[in-house]
Amino acid sequence: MGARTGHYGETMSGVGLVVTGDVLTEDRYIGSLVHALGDSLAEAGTRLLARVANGLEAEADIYHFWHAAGGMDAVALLGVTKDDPRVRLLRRLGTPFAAVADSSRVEGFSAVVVDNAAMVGEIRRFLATRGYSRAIYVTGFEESDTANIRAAAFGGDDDVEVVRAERSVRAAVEAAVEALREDTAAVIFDTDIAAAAALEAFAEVGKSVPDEVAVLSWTDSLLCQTSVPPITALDRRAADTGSLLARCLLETLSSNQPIVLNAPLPTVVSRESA
Amino acid sequence: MVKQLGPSSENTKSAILDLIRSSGVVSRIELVEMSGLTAASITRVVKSLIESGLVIETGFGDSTGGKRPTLLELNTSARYAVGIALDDARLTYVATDLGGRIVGRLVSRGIEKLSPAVVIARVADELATFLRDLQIDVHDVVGVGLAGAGLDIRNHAERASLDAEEWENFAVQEALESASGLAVMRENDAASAALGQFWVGRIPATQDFAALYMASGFGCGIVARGSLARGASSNVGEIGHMVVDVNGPDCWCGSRGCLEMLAAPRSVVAKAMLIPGLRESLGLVGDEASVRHDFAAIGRAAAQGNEASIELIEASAGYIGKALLSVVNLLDLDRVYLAGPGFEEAGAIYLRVIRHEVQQFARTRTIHDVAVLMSDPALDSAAVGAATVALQHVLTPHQRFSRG
Repeated sequence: MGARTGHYGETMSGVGLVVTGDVLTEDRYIGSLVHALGDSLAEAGTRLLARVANGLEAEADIYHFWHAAGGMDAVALLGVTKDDPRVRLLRRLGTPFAAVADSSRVEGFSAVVVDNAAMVGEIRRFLATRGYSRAIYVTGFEESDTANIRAAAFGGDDDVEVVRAERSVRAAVEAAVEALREDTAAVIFDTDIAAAAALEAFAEVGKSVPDEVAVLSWTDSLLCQTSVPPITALDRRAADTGSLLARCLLETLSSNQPIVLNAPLPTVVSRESA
Repeated sequence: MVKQLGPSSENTKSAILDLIRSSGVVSRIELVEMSGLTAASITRVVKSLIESGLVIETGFGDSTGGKRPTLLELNTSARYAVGIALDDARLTYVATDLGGRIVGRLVSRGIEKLSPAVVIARVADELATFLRDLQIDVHDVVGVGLAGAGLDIRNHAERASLDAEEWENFAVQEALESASGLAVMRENDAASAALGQFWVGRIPATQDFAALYMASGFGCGIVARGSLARGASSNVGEIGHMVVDVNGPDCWCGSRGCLEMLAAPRSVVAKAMLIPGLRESLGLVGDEASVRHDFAAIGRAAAQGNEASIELIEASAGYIGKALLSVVNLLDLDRVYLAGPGFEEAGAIYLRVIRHEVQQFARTRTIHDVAVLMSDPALDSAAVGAATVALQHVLTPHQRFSRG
C-alpha cells in the first residue's frame, strides 16, 4: 500500500490492530473477521499486525508508539463506541484508520458499517415464525457499547426482555436459567460459548430444547454447528466483513478520504435449537 | 504426582520451572512434595529462578499451622517466544509470553514460488519489524519455532506446491539463525499443531492425545506424557500413507490405497472435476496451482448444503475417520484433535463424520469416551505450536530433543 512496490524488505509497514485480552481466541466473530482481514491484506501485498493490550490507556500508548516509530500505514478499529476516544486520538495523530462500527456510531471516518438494529429485526422475524411465548436477550452490563445498542433495539417493543448479566459465560447462563419460568421462551445469547453452555444448563434443570426453551446465538461458529442439538445462530458474515475492512483500509489510503462500505446483512441460520 | 528428578542442576531447574508453570500458583513446600527433592534444593533452585526473572513471588497461601507460605508463579512477561508458520498462502507469526498467551500476531504474503533464500531473508526482516512493533526486546526472545519448512515438507502434495526439493536442500534453520541472531527450532505442521493444543489448551500431561493436521496433505502429531512422540527419525505421524483401501489407487510412495490418495484435497478436487456440472457451478480450475482454491470452493458449497459437494466431503471425512480410528485403537487414546487449513470451510461436516466413525467403532468405547474435537482454523495452531516448540526449549530442556 502507499509506497509499496511489491519487493520484499523495502517498506516494512502494514496495518495495525489492537485487540483486548483473549478476544482473538475466544470470540469467533472477531477471530474469523481478523483472519479474513489478514488474508486479504496479505493477498494485496501488505500485512496485518494484531497486538494484544488491556485497557484504553495501553491501547493509546501503542498508537503513540506506532506513530513515533513509523511502523504502520493505517490502523484497523473494532467495536467503535459513542464518542470513542480512540477515534479522537488517531485523528490527532494523523494516523489513517478504518473501523467496523454500528451505523449509529459512524461519524465521518472510514468504516465498514454493521447494522445491529437490522440484526435484531432479523431475529425478531425468525422468532415470529416459532411461537414461543417469551423472548429473552441475555447480554453484558452497561459498559459494553455493543450490548447497549442491541439491548436498545430489542427493547424498542416490549416483546423481548433484556437481562443484564456479567460478561462471563457462567453469569449469562445463570441469568438465563433464573429468568425462565414455566412458559416457553426463546433465549438469545451474545456468544456461541454461552449458548452451548446454556444447552447443558437447561438440560440439568429439566427444560427440553427446543420444545420448552429455544437457544439462539448472536455468533455463529463451529461450536454452534456441532453442539447437540446444533444451535440456531446469526451468521454475521464475519469473513466477508473482514475482507471488506481490508478493502476499506486500502481505498482509504489510496484516496485519502473517508470510505464507507456496508457489511452484508446477517441471516439467521436455522438449526435444531430453536 | 511425584516426579523423581536427577541431580543435574540444569535439568532440575527446568523441571522445577515446568512444575511451577503447570501448577499455576504453588508454594515451595508443595514443590518439595511434587518433586521429591529436599527443601534445601528447592530453596536453592527457586532462588536462582527468581534471580533470573523467570519466577516471581505473588503473595501468601493459607497457613497450615506455622508461617503462611509464599506463593510462586511463572513470570510470564519475563520472556517471549515466536512461532512462524510458513505456508503457500500466508506467513503467520505469533509471539507468546512464557505462559503461552498470545501477545501479537502478524500475517503477511505466502511463500508462493519464491526461492528459500529470498523467503528466509524476508522472514528475518519481518521478524525484526514484528518484535519492534510489539515493543519486545530481541534479548527477551527465548527462541523461534518454525513450522512447515524444509525437510518436513516431504509428502507429495507439498512437494508439488512448494518445490520442496529446493527447500530440502536449503538449511532453513541455520539461515534464519544467522539472519536473525535468534535460536531457531524447526518442526512439522502436525507436530506443531499437537504441541500448540497441548500447551495452549492446558491439557494435563497425563492425557495422551493425537492431532490430525490437514493442509495439502496429512500429518499426525502424537503427544504422550506431555512430550511429542518422535520415533527413530523424527518422522512420526505419516498418517497420509496409512492404507485405508487395500485395493485402492496406486500411491506415489509405492503403496496403494493410502489415505492421501483417497481423502486429501487434491483427490477431492479430482473427483469433483468428474461430476457433470459441478466444475462450472463452483468455478473449479482443476490445475495443480488451484488445488487449495478449488478445495475451498467445494468445502464452502458443502457447508451451504450443495449435495454433490457434501458427498465429496463426507467421503473424504469417512477415510480420515477410518485412519483415525486405527490410531485411537492402537494407542488407546481418549482425545483427538482435527487441525489445519484443510478444515477451514467444511470443518463441521468433517467433524460430524469423523466423530461418528471413531466413536461408533472405537474398541475401548465401553470403557471410556473418545472425544473428537476441532481446533479452530482461525487460531493458527501451527504457528502457536511452533512458538510452543521454542517455549518448551527453554522451559523443559530436560525433555529437549534434537531432530534426527
